[in-house]
Amino acid sequence: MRWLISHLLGRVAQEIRDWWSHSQRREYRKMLKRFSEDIQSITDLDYLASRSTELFTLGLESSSTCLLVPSRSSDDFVVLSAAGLIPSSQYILKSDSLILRWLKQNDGFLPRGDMDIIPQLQALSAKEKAEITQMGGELFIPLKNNGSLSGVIVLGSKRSGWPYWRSDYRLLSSVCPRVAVSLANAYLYQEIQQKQEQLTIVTELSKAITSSLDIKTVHHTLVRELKRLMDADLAVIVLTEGEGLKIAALSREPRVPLKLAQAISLWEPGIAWTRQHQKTLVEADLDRERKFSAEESLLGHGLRSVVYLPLPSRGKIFANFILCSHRPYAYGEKELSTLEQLSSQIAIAVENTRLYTLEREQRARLEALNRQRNEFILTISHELRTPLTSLKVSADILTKECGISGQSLPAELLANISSSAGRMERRISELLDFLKLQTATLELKLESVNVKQALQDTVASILPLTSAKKQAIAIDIPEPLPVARLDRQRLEQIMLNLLVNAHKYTPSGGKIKVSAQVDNSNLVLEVSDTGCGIPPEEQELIFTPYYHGRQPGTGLGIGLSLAKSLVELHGGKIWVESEPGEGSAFSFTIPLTADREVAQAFRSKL
Amino acid sequence: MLDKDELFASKERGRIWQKHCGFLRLPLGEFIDIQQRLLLEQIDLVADSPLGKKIIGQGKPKSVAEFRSLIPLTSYKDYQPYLAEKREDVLAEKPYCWAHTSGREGYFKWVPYTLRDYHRLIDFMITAFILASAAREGEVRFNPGARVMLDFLPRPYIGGQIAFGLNQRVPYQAIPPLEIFEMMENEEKMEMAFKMLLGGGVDFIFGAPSTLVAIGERFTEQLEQMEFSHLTSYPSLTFRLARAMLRSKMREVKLLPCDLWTVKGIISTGSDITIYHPEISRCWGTRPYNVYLAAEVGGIALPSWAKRGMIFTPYSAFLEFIPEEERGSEQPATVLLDEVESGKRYEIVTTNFYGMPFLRYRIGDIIKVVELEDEETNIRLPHVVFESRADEVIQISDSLWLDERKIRQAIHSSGVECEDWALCQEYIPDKVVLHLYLELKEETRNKEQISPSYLPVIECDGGNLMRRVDASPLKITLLYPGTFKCYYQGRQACGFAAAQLKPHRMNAPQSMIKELIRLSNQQPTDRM
Repeated sequence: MRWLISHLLGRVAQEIRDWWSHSQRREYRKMLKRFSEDIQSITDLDYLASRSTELFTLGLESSSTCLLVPSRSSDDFVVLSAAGLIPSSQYILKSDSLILRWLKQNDGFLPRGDMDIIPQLQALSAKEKAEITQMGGELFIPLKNNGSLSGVIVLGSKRSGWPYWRSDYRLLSSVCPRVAVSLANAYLYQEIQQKQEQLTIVTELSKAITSSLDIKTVHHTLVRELKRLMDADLAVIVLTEGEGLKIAALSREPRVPLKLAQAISLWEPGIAWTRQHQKTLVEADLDRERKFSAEESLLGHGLRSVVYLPLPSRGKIFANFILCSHRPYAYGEKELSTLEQLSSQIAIAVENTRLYTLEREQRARLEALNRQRNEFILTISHELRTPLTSLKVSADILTKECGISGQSLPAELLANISSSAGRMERRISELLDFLKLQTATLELKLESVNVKQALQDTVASILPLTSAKKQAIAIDIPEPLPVARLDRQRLEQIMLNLLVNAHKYTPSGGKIKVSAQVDNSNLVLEVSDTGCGIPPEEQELIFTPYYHGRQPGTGLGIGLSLAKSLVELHGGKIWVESEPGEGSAFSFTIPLTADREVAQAFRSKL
Repeated sequence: MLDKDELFASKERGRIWQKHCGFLRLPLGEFIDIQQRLLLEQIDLVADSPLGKKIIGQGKPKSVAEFRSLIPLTSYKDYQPYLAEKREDVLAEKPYCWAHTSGREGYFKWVPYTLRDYHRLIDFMITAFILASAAREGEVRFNPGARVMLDFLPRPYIGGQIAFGLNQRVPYQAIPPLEIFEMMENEEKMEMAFKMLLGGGVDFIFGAPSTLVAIGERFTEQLEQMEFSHLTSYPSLTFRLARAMLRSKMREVKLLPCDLWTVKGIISTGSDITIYHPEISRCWGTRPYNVYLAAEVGGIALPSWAKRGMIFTPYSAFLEFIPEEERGSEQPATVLLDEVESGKRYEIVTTNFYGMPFLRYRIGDIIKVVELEDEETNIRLPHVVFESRADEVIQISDSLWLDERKIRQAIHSSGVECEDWALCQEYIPDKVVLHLYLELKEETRNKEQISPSYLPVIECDGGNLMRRVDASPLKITLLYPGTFKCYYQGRQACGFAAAQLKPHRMNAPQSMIKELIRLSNQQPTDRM
């Protein structure tokens, strides 16, 4: 009892003395209270933190004040702001700390003396107790908002040496809840800002990587933007090529040497790890723990945390994205979650550009091959045509000369030379026309054409052949045909092609019929025969180039393909109806007024 | 030197209770969590010491599960080569003091106490004193200046270390004074204690059960010798003494210590408390409060204010339990406190905290879990009772076993007045028999009374020992009266300390049996 009374008297005396001599302290306390009332509109977290710790130190006459808040990258609480004499502002309240757990689960303040009294805290390790002693923590005050801990204020001992008294606790009880709310709001505000910024960067990143299909541009954009997004010191993309690795792009702060960033051997172990485990590897603090000895050189250059983010495509990791920072624990859950969200986009973008590049290269190679082939054919055709023309002309002159002079040179021979040369000339013309169609350089010469006359002329030209096989050929045009605007030469070419085929595939004594009619604004022409017919499975194939079908080795196999192209160039279509053993009917349509634009559209499709 | 407990100085009862008894309110999950944290700290402390490396090996376990799977169970033999010589160079931390066990195995087990662990042991005893005298939660009747009568062996016995440490933390008035306690013989101590009690009274008694009985009996004898003329010599007790003496004379009953002194708490520690507690209660008017502690571990468990069963403290050692069915294995599996089942028996395995050396250490004690929670006090931790020493159990079959208590009960139920006894297993061709060596009190030396058929059934899980085992499972040899006394005298003459005189009654070693027979044969012996 006596002890209690003397203790109380002593305290009261101290309070009076303090109150008398420290009028400034009263002012600070008032300031602290006012600050806590106005604090809710403050969104600047740093200002809020520094001003709070300053006023706490002054108002409560504590030797020091620390404000601890949740770390960005983990659940630990780290010092955001400190005022007064702090031996160490590197104090961390670990997420599994008993003190932190107690503060979360209980309301009320935690004086250091109570750590030896509260049963749960009696298990504090000697190391933790030493840390608290070193940082001068005397009173731990939880800042709670809606039941969750948004911060912890740690007050050092009072400068007077006395313990914190009831008036101090009263002040703290009224001020701290407001500080807690404001802190939570400031964090929320900051988080929103950060999210917005992140969203902007992610959008920019997405735009950048999808706006270009150039693989180098995409790589460089990725490393640059992600380095900025993640506030990293170094960002590298390493591609897996077969058994080896290749650095595709990197972006670094000046303090990171280029040679270091480019050293494949440095990244190899981490990349191998991600390949083996098929997941992201995070090295939170190389100073505390390193998985690979190679990472010592990173630490040597001040880089403390590393992330190896694998980029998968079709079940295989084709590249790794590596980020390094000088900050330990720089890549926590939030950062990793952002990275992993982006990784699929990055992987798709990188893979797409890679495939696009491959495809483009292949296409270029194919086009080059195509060009070479066409040039070759063109050259061959020209080389053959010139002597062929000369041969034909010579044969014709010779025939004439023999007739005039009465010399008997074998007429058959001369006729053979002439007809063979003619055939060769026709083949070469066909080939050239086919080539022109392939290279989209064939132009239609549209003119007004008497279709009936054109058909009759074409039939007349084939009569020698059909007569030789005793084939009957007839023209069936039931009503007068209007004049059509089309390329007469090509029309005749198409008809000749079909008639020659009909002649070829109709036996001796067979019948060939040519018919024509108008259907709407289209001319419908048909060449039918009583030949051997075409099996159903070949009916589509016969219009493809180089297809020989029933009689391989005869001709170039491009006649029907050429006919089809010419019909379609006019804007028409061609088809066949046939029954094996009963004959075939080749039909095609041509608009009565062929359109250059239609021809152009057809050419552009080739 | 330990610091004084400032809370007692400030007399803040609530905080005193919270600090020393607050663990009773821990949920089981938090209890286990505290244990695991302290264990991980312990691994960090000892893993790099030479002794730690010998037990743990080169790799340091990083988790509790790894610790339990990698480290084998140990016994004192693993530490004896170093600790018997008090080698501090192999330890993780320089010890604050050394203590040793009672030595009943025939040698002392030396235990190095770090300052933190010693501190924790003393705090455990403070808890014991508080709870021993508490009738309800929050009641603190142990204060600095309390009068504490002590009876235990001097330092470096663990009892002596406790007495001195407790005085540093919460200064009390020792009866007899600590300064002279260690220098006095038993008789002198009792004499002085009696006088001090008459002069000033007593608040707490702290000692071993058997000696508490002896003290009680001795005090009773001394009180019997008091006359009314002595009343003026003890003015503080005049009225009470007068009243007690009158009552005693009128009712023709003995004057007991409880008639004069109201003891707040009797704290004892020992496996034989159940045998002695009726006598202690009768003598002192207070049921003794038995705490479970071991020199190698410190404080292990103690009852709550309701005094029903004992509750483990989380701060002394990491606790593991060997289920009964595992005990036969070479490296039995263990369970933790949150896995024990009510009604089952377990052998305790402890791992020290705070840099002490014993890891996964089999103390050799068997406890029984009586309930997992106490509805009345709302304590959500398992309650246990001490069953026996592991080496003091004779296993008859998987479900049938005998301990000292059962044999004592059987002897008591038979009606024979026994002076002392020892039991061992003997092997004769094709059979194992139990051989009981029994010394009767002089007046009951009657052959017929002690035939095996008169020895009542020993209740073992509801079965009859005679039916369960082959015929004539029990052989009895009567020892001549005075045999045990001669035996103790002989051991004392050989230099054994008081505690080492106590024989192994169960599984008595052959050397002891031979000596008993030799001493008994100095006079004729009746053999059955």
